[in-house]
Amino acid sequence: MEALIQPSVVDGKAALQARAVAKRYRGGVRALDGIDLDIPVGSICALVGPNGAGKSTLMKAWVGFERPSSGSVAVFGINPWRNRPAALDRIGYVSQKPSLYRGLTVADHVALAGSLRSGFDPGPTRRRLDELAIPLGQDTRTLSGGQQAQVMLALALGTHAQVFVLDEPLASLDPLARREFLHVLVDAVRADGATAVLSSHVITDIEQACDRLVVLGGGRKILDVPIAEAISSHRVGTAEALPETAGAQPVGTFPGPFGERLTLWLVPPERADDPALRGATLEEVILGQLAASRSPRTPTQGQPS
Amino acid sequence: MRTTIRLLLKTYRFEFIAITLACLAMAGAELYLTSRLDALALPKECQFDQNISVEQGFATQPEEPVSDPTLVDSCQEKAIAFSDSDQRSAVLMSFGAALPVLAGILIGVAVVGRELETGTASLAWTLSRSRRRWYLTRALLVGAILGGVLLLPSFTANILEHARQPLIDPGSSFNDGGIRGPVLVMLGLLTYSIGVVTGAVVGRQLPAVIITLALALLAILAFENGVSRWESTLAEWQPAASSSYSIDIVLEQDYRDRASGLIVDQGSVFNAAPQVDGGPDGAWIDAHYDSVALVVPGSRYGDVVAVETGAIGAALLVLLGLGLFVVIHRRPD
Ligand SMILES: Nc1ncnc2c1ncn2[C@@H]1O[C@H](COP(=O)(O)OP(=O)(O)OP(=O)(O)O)[C@@H](O)[C@H]1O
Ligand SMILES: [Mg+2]
Repeated sequence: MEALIQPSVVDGKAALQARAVAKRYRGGVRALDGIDLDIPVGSICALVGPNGAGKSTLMKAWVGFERPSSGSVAVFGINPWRNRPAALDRIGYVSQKPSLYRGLTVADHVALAGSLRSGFDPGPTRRRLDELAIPLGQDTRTLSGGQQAQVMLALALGTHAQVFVLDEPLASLDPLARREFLHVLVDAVRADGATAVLSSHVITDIEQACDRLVVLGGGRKILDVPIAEAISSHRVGTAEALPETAGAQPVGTFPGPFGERLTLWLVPPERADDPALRGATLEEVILGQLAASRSPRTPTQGQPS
Repeated sequence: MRTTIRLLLKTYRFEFIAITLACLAMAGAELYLTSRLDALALPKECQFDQNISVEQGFATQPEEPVSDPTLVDSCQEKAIAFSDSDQRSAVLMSFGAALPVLAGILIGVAVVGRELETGTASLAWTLSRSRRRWYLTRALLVGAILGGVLLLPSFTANILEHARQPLIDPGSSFNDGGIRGPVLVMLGLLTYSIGVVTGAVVGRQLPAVIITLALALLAILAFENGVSRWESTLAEWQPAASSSYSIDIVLEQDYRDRASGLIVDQGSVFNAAPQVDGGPDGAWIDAHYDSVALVVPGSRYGDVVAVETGAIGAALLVLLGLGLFVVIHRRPD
């Protein structure tokens, strides 16, 4: 089973790394619980998981905002807590909450980014804002929520960062804007040879843009696979559809769109065209994995690290 | 740098406008009262004693008979009008002392506290490689602008002081010494830096305002306490007649035994003196003792201001460093 799902670390080098990372907040909340993760250089990785899974916490650890309680994180091998400037130099981060200055215009924000970050290139930012018809002279306070998110993303693009860490960048965008943004992101990443990790609850769009899927649940890593593999290795059917002995394993059972109970199956290639099962969508893979992580039974499939 | 200054001014425009308007209003009111006092200043013939202030001139009766008996009445009338404006000046100057403190709090808590509260710290701290540069740039620039704006009322307070005591150089007088001149600016900056640190620790503006107010009052009390302890080391004994409560800091009034040269407190002298009409005999005391006062002479005012400015300056550096430590180590929300 292990062979089915392997992390593909390009060039053996990871843009972002997590080693046995645990984070316990004051008050005892265990946000991360032993995360091992490598985000390979050049990949666009989707980080998904239910609310409170620890996605934002992990991202904040990479930008040096949260210090892991144990374990370590690295950005191109740099510990962001020890050498924050060097790590931040390589990161373009967008936080989950829009955080623009009230009373400053969009153009002011572009100027601010230029004054704060040496090497900031206003070109891509302006171009993106222009495409979106967001007026540079508008006070950001009066922008819609989605427009504010767009400004944050446009600013991140101007950093020409080596790795983009985007915390739910799609959440408040309209469907067209989501698609467009992902195209822009993919172009930017490909053009600069960069890497991106984005957390999202919107599955349909990331399927096209991302090449890697990491699922977190309850502070643990549940899945970490190339997206194509995630889809090809799973199939969906009813719980009774296949006997376990047939080489397929049930992963988790979740409600279908019409209230029916669906089961995600992990199938070896030789069983891939079993008529009792149909191909799984990425959303179904995630639903099945999340259901498995929630049920008392531990997931049956291997978890590469 | 020009962009940074422009954006800082724009970010804090409401604070800066409010503070500037308050300072302009204060300076304007002080200059207005100055012109009133100047217009009401007692004419030469009413200044019976050149060595004492106009207020005291009002209370002092001429030692020699004045040729024109109506002069005393008209002088009293003028002195009453003067004293009226002088009292208003005193009230204004106390408000003037509160102004830098309030201004320092208002803008101090915003420098880091508001960034944390509104989440913009997270944007700035990832765009900028160095939180240290981010923090020092804004803390120093905003502080410099605040200091510059506060210079105006601190300067006009000195002018008003001069109008209130026209015969005295405010640069060598301790009268209202703590609520005018550079000390006023420094107290504003002290409060400002307390606000910066509190805002950085608390991360919320409103609670930071309240905490800063309390801390600033404590700091100012401690500062005044320390200053007056230190000032007492500058004190020297002088003939009592040559010291003035409106110029010097008079710490003690005693007697010096003419025979031994020793300082004796008033109680002992009164007890030692023969009793006349149920009280100590003044003539006997005058014959044996000189009345002396332990004073910090007004001429030391400049030195005291320099030391106060230096002490607050050192405190500012410490607070600035503390703020830096907090900014570097805290999470941005
Ligand atoms: N500063 C904090 N103090 C205490 N607990 C925190 C703090 N930040 C996050 N948590 C807790 O840590 C857990 C993980 O939070 P996190 O924000 O990382 O989740 P998430 O996966 O990003 O969720 P969402 O999808 O809702 O954004 C949650 O239970 C949350 O309540
Ligand atoms: Mg989150």
